[in-house]
Amino acid sequence: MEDAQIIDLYWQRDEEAIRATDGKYGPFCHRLAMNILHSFQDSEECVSDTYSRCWDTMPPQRPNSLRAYLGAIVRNLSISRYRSAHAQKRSGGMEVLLSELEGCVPAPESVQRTVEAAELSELISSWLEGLGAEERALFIRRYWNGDAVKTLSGELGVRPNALTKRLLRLRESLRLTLEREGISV
Amino acid sequence: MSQKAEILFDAITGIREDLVEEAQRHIFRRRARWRRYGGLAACLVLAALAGFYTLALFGGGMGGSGAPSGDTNDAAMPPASAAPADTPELDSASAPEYAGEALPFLARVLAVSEDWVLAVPLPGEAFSARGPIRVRTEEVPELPELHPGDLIRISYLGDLQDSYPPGLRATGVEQVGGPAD
Repeated sequence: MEDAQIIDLYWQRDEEAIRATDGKYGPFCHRLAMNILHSFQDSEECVSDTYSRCWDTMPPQRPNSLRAYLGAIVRNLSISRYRSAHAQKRSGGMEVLLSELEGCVPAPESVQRTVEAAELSELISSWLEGLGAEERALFIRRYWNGDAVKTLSGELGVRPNALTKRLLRLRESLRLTLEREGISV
Repeated sequence: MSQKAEILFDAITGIREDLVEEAQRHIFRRRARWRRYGGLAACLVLAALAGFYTLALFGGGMGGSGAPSGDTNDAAMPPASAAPADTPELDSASAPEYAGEALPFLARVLAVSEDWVLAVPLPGEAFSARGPIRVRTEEVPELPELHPGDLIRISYLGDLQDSYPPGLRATGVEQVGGPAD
């Protein structure tokens, strides 16, 4: 079923919308949640909450890309769950992603202003647009999808070490861009 | 864990939908191991052919017993006009420079591998006297799909490496024509 048809079902308040979403994007949502939470049970609950959130927000929302819309909800719910679990113990997947993203945080002496989350997202989007298609996909698959380095290196047919270096260069480039803009996060 | 990294994580969540969608559809160009070795084999074959051709062209008189005026060295030496391609003084180009940056040059693709392209600079272009050049493409952000015979414009960094074939670090490769151009 096409995304537009699924969205129409949400707008018509037809419960078939959730079944169609699960059929088409269930595995995608599960993978995103698992990449962050590394817990099957928590991921199940996150995905289930994602469908409820979709039901509550469509209408009025009519996303251009249902996949990106679902992904953003899954990530937000997963990180909320991570944060509440984090008070008790650290969990693997998210810890690794955050430790890598530390490298993108601009140095304090270069900071001139603090930006809103939306503006920061837009800056990152603009930086991504300046990259080649493969580098862009790589960054998004690693830091948006949370795909493991091993998975990505398998798809690319390169050694994980080589991919780690490429990701390091990408993070360095993002950090420099944010510093040039005088951004604080 | 830094709260700032979490803010970045949240900001990444909010990147534009079209970028996310494009990344999900992207199919990575897989670097097959056999291509690396296939390319190496192609290079060896080319080197062997070049050697064979040189011998056939200039070494024909070596086996003859009647070298003129008894100067056997003359028979074995190539004529002055056919000095080895990598003789520096005949090199039509150590890279021409413009505002501190090497100018790009045009070349014809001979072979393509995972992280390099074997290409011959066109006559009159930089390095044209050096014969085939092994152009490393690891640092090229967007490498077009190349095939033997394609005409390409190569931007590069640094000097030609003294190897056989000579090597060069490309920073950009642009396809400007096909085999017919």
